[in-house]
Amino acid sequence: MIKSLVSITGVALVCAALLAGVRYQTAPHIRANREAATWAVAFQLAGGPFPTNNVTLPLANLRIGGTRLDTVSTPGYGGSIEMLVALDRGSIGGVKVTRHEETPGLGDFIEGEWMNQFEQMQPMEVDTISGATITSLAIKRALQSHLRTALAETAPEGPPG
Amino acid sequence: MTFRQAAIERNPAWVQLLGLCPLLAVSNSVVNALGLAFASTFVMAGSALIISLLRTLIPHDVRLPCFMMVIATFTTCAVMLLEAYTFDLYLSIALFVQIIVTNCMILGRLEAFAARQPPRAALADALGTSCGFAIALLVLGSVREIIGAGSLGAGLDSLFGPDAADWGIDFTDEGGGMLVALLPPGAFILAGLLLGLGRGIHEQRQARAHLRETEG
Repeated sequence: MIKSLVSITGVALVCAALLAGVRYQTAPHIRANREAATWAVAFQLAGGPFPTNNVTLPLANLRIGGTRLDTVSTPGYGGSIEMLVALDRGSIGGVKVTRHEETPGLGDFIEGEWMNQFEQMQPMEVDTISGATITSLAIKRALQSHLRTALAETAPEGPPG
Repeated sequence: MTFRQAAIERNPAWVQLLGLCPLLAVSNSVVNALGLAFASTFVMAGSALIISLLRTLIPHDVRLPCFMMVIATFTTCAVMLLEAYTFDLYLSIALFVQIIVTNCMILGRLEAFAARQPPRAALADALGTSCGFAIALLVLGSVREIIGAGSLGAGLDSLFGPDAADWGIDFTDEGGGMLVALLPPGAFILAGLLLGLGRGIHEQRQARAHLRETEG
């Protein structure tokens, strides 16, 4: 009994050490890769590359020409969903999911064409996908509330500040 | 088992029918097949080595949790390494690399071999088994890519860097082929045909060997 306990703890320690080592080695590369991927999406939404020297991720109210770019995060079904939203004159000009942990094959339609509908209609008008209600609703609600906040920020009769 | 036995005569996929889930899921192109083959080899060899080194310290009762822990560790390491150094490939096969942890081929070889053998033999067996798995993956991946996409080795640059961008061969000018070969049903059909072919060759060789024995 004691021997089992000691040996299983020993194996766990070996595994933990290995994981920590690899993580330490790869973490900076992984972060750089993810940021590069997010910037690529941002360039796509803004219609072309822009200088990123003074901008940090996540984006908040970044103005590129007439477009406003934001990172919007919301809890989904499997974890946090992170998207980049481009606003053109108060409506959604483009939105892309940059990170998510939704169920593969079921909740990953948010990587695809379903997202394009938000460019044509109000978030809550887009059809929810059956079998992935939580995922769809999470995105619709997050976009809805993002739109509302953004509108309130730019509206002339809104509260000051 | 020796390397040759593990890779060819007891090929994990075609003879023992192990690890078919990742095999069928990822083998839709050569580059995906190669990526999964590398990742599986890494996990298989790494965990076989560790288990073999620790084999006298692991009591029989708790061997399975220990094996699973080691396999999960190497799988996680493989995912991190892929995301750090081959990001494009990571995006297309990450999901399947993560489920290497459930590949019964690996647990099976650890339990049946690595846990009872010295590190060198365990490593040879692990490399042979992964090599056999890689052969199966590559054969199926090539056939499916040729039929389904009309190319061979497209997108190898995501694995070997920008130099490899034109290593691929394109058989059709406008691309495209029989889509069914890229989809799961095509995977099952082609895997079945290849399995039958392998069996056929194997049986013929055995029959010939038998004939030689009875004559001699």
